[in-house]
Amino acid sequence: MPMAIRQILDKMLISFGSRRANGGPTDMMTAAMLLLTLSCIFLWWNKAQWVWLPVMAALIIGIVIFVQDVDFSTNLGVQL
Amino acid sequence: MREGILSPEFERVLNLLGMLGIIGVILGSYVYQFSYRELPCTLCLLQRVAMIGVAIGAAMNVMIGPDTRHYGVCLVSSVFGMVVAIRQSLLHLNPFFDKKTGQPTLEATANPPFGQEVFGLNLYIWSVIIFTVVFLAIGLVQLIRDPSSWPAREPGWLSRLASLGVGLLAIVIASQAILVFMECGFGDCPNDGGWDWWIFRSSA
Repeated sequence: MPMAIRQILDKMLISFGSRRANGGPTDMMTAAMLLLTLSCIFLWWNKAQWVWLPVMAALIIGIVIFVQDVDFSTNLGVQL
Repeated sequence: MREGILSPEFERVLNLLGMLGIIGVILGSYVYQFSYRELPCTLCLLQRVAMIGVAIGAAMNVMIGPDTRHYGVCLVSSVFGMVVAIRQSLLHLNPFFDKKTGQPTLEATANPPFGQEVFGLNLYIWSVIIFTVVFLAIGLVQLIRDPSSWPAREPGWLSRLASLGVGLLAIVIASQAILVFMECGFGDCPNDGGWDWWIFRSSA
């Protein structure tokens, strides 16, 4: 296996492991983008009507990321 | 059912134009990202997710044919994007607020805006405007479209254009997925507007 690919795989494993150690994989932006990519490819390839499902899954992942990003204990973004 | 004034062919052309517009917005954000060497923050990426969701809804209208469910995909995505964009706009609304201390200050640089301006507005303000335009466009189209008519044969030129447009969208989304993987990996995305790619870091 080429060294560069091996290094990337090692980084992925370490990153994923550290997220799990900190209470689970909390940031899944890459997964959301992959779901959107797959849905668009299937739409282009065979006009699949179910592609709204991965789009909604990506949005749900986005909502999870957004809720974790908002610090509800201090503010909701409104700074007076 | 009363006939609308918007034919399905023209409706598909409008959706194709909207989809191309969103592709242009995403490509424009690439230009700013790479020319100013600023990685998008978490909220910025979430707005891109929402914009891509709107584009896929429009692409479904273009490829499969206009349908209320496809507009639903656009609407749900734009509601999410609007919430995120408003949240980010409010975060940077008051330049005198010091986020570190949580107190107001006398310096207008305590809470600077994130990223560069485009025509005098920051990208998250443009995002609010774009999602508002999406709401208005979908509402207007629903008013004047004709859901009862369906083209017996779709024009060949439209079919070819649709395939080209959605193919381009797929390429843009795939490039975005690769860039997000390079920026964030499977961890948190950087939020400081720097140029700290996850894939080029010495440690994960």
